[in-house]
Amino acid sequence: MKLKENFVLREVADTWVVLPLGEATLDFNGMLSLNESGAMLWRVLEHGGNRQALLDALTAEYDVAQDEAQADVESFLQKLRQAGCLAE
Amino acid sequence: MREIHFEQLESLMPLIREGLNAGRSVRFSPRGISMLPMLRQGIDSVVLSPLPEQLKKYDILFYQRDNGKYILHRIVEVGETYTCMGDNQFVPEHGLTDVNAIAVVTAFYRGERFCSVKSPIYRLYCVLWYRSRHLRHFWQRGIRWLRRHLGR
Repeated sequence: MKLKENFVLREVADTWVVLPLGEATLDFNGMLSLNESGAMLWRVLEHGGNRQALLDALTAEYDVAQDEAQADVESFLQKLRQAGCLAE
Repeated sequence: MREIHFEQLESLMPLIREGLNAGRSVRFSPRGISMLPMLRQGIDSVVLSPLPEQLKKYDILFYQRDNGKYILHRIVEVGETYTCMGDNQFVPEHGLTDVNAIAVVTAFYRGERFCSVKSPIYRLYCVLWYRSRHLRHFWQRGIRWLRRHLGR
């Protein structure tokens, strides 16, 4: 599980946005924006982290129960999958 | 985590301008009812492209008013300045210049259906819709008058 190379995370006015690179049209329809925790998880994936690394990062950074963190990670990955950001 | 809605676009303007400056197009869903019946909020979206050398009557212009507000309306007159008006409006906005202009609509999506602004059917819509504005305005006011006086 890793991120496709043609996406990049950018911060604009307190919002983290996942931008597609190289496409002729910058499509804001359905483009992902991430909150702080989403942006942190993105960076973990950027550094080659796997599902367990995401879980560890989330529980280390936030006061969240293991099963709740697991659900958040799955939801995060699902969103990324839907947005076509993951190469699995 | 959430999807981007138009409300956020103001804050994303640096990205939009950056994309346009790099010659890319930008697609987003506009907000409001001023471009009805062509653009329905939450359903339809537009593709903005960098400004051409010359803007023409019936082009849909994305511009910034002097008060900072971002607007997407149709050019209905080109002279020394541009006059714009939403398809669902009857009062034109005069005195817009190249300084206000940011981008122009080159295509749009009616739901998921792609439509080019070069389509003959779309061009016909532009002309007929604009030319019928006095009739439409009269009709709208008549309906309002009837409702008021018939108590509906």
